[in-house]
Amino acid sequence: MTEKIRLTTSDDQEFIVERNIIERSVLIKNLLNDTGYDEDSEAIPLPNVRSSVFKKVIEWAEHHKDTTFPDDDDEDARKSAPIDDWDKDFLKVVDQEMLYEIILAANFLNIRPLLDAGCKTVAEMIRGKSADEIRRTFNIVNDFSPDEEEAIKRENEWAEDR
Amino acid sequence: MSHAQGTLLSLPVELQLQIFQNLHIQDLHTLSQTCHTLHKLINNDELWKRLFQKKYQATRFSSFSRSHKFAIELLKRDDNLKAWKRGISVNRNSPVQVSGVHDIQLNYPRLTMLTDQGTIKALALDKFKSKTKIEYEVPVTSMNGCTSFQLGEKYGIFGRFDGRLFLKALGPSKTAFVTSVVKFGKDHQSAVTCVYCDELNGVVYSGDENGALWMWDVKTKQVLKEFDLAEAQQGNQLAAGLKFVKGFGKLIFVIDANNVAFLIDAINNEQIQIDRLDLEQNFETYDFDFPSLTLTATDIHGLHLLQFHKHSFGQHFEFSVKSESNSVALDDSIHTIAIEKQRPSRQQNFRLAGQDGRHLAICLKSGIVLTFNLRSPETQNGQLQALAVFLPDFDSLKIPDGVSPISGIDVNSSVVLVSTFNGFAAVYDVLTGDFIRVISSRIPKKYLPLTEAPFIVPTGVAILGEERLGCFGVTMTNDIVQYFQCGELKHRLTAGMHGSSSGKANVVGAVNDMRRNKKYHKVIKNGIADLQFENHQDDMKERLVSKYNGDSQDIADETEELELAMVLNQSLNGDIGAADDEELQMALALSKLEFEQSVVDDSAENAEELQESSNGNGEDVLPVLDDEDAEFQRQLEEAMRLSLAE
Repeated sequence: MTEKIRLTTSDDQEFIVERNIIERSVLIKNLLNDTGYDEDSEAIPLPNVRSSVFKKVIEWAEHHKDTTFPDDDDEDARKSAPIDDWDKDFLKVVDQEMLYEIILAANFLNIRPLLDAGCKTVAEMIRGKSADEIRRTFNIVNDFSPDEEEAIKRENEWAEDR
Repeated sequence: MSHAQGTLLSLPVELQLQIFQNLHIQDLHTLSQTCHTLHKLINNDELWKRLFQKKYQATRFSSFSRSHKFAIELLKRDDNLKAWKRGISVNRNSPVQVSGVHDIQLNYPRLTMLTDQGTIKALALDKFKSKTKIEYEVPVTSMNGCTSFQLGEKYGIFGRFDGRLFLKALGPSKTAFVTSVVKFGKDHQSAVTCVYCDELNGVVYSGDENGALWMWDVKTKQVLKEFDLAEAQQGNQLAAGLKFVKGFGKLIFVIDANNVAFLIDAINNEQIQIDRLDLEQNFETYDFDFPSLTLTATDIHGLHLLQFHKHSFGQHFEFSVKSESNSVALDDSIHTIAIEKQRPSRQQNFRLAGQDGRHLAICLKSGIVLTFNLRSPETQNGQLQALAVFLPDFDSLKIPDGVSPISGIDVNSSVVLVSTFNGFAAVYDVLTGDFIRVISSRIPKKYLPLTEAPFIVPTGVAILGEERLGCFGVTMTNDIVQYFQCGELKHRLTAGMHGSSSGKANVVGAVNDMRRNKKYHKVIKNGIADLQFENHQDDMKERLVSKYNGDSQDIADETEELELAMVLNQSLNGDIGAADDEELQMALALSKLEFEQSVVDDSAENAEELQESSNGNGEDVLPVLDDEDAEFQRQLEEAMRLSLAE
C-alpha cells in the first residue's frame, strides 16, 4: 500500500496524493525525505499553486508515473528531446493563462520534465511567426515607433550569416 | 514592469529566457521586434552571458558562431551539439595502404596524405565507400632526404637535405592535383630544416641548417627577402640552424637550434624589427598563433605558452604534469597535442562572444584529456588552468600496459575528438568535457590484419572537418581510414574560406553530397533518384557553364574528371572512356608530359649526384618502382571499373 500525502493549495483546497506520484516534484520529494512525513503530519501548504493548476499537475504526474525521463543533469538530452505526444495534447487544450501557471507551478515544485514541456510548448507558439502574429498570439502591445521598428529589423547581427 | 497577470511577459525573466532558449535565432530576432520589453531582454547580452556561463562554465573561449552576441553563440552552439548528438550518422571504414603517413590534411571533400613512399595520396570523402580506392596518387619527393615538409590545403612544400625546395599544388581545383612538382628558383646553401606556407598571403618561408631564413612568393617561386639572424644574435654567436618557422604575411616567427626564438616584423625593406627570446630548453612540438602572438610548446613533462606581445613579452604559462597541484599522476606524461584549426588572421577579435579564443587539447599517456584556451591563459596555483579535464571511457577496451589508449586527438571550437589505436572514437564537449557521442566502438574484424599480433603498434590520427560545414571527420588506424559524419553537411556554395576560385569546384562536391545523402539516408530501390540527380547535375552544369562563359574546365563532371585524371596521370594508353571535354584532356595531357619531363630531368640530375657522392642515399623525386606501378595500375583499373559500373 502506498503512502498518501496531504497537500493544500493557495485557495485552501486539500488534496490527497500517492507519495510516488507527488515525488515527481523534487521539492516535495526532498521535503518528505528531510522532515519525515507521517499520517498525523499537517498538510503540506502550496501557497503559490491554485487548485485548478495543481489538478493539472497531478493529472500529468499520474500519466507519467512509469515514465523514465532523461537525467536532470543532462541538459542537452532534455533540451533536444522532442515533446512527448501526450504532453503536447495535454498542454494544447489548456488556455495560455493556465499554461503559464503550469510552467510556474512546475518551476516552483521543481518538476523539470513538465517545465521543459511547458517551455517548449510556448516556444512552438512563437516559432515561424511574424512579429505581428506573435503580438496577436501573446497580446503584446507594439510600443515601437515605425522608425524604431525599421531599425530593429535591420539589426544585422541577428541575420543568419552561415 | 507591469504586465497583466497570465501573459508571457508576466512570467519571471528566467522562465522567459528558458522558453527562448528553445527558439531559433531567426525567431528570437522576430520576437525582439514585437515590443520594447522583449527587445531589451533579448538584447541583454549580460543575461545571455550568464546563461552561457551556467551551462559551459566558460567566459573566454573560441567562438563557434563568430558572433558578438552570447545569445547567438549559445543557440548556435546548442544546435551544433544537438547535431553531434542526434544527427544520423554515416560511418564508413575503408582499408587503404597508408602505413607511414608523414602528414595529413582534410579539406573536404578530399583527404590528402603524404606517404612514406614520397607520394601524395588523395581520397574523395564524398564518394567514400568500403571499397574506396585512392583517388589520386602522385609522386612528390622521396622522403629519404626530405628534411622538412608541410602539407597545406592548396600547396605541399618540401625542403631537401641538399638545399632544394619544391612545391606541389594540391588544390583548390581538381586539375591542380595532377600538375607536376615545381622547384623553387634558388637553392639553400645547406639542408632545408623548416618550411611553412602562409596560403592566405601567398608566402612561403624556409630556413636552413646555416641559419638562413628566406621568404618566397608562392606564385613566382622567387625569393622575396632574405634574413640574417646572426646579426640579431648581436654578432657574438655563429648563426644556428633553424628548426621551426611560421609566418603570417610580413611577420615571421622562427626558432633556432640554440632554442632562441625570433619574432621578425619585416615592415618594409629598410625597417625590420626583431624581438628575440631565449627559450632555454628544447621542446618537442611548437606552434605559433599570430593573432595573440603566443608560442605553444610541449615536451613530455608539460605544456608551455609563451607570449610575444609587446605588453606581455616573455610571459610564460605552464601546465606541468610533474606539479603537485593538479590531479594528474606524477608519472604521467604528455602524449599528444592538438590545436584548433582556425581561419588565419592577424588580429584577435575581442568583441566576439568569448573574446575570440583558440582551443588546444592535450592528451596524457594515461588517457586523460585536458583542454585550454591558448589565447587567454589563466593560472591557478601557478598552473595553467584547463577549461575541461576528462577521462574517456575506455573500459571496454583491452589496452596493453604502458600503451597510451589515445592515438589521435583533435579539437575545434565546440568538440574534442579522441580515437584509440583499435578504432574506438568519441567526441566530447570542449568546454565542459561532457561526453557527447561514440563515433565508432572498434574496427570491424574483417579489416584487422590476419596475423593478430599481441597488440598493434599504436599509431593513429584523428581529424575533425571544418565545423561550419558540419559535424564530420576522419580517424585513421593501421591502414583503416574511417570517415564519419553526424547529420547533413552544409553545402559550400558560398565558401568564404578559399575565395571565389574554389566556388566552382565546390558546387560539384555539394551536388555529390546531395546524391550521397540521398543514398545513405533513405533506401532507394531503383534508379529514379539517381536519374533525377543526373538531370539536376546537368542543369547545374549548364547553368554554370553559361555563367562562367563556357569555362568548364573546373566544373566537368567529377567522375569523368577523376577517371581522366587517373588515366592520364598514369598511362596515356588507357581507355579515356566517356571523356567529352577536350580542353580538360589537353590540360591533363600537358601536365602529364611536363611531369614526366621533370622526373626524367631529376633522375638524370640524381644520377650525377650519386656518382659524385660516395654515400648514395640521395634518391630524389621518386621514379615509381615497377611493381608498385603495376599494383597501382591494377587498383586504378578496378576503381575505374567500379565507377563505370556505378
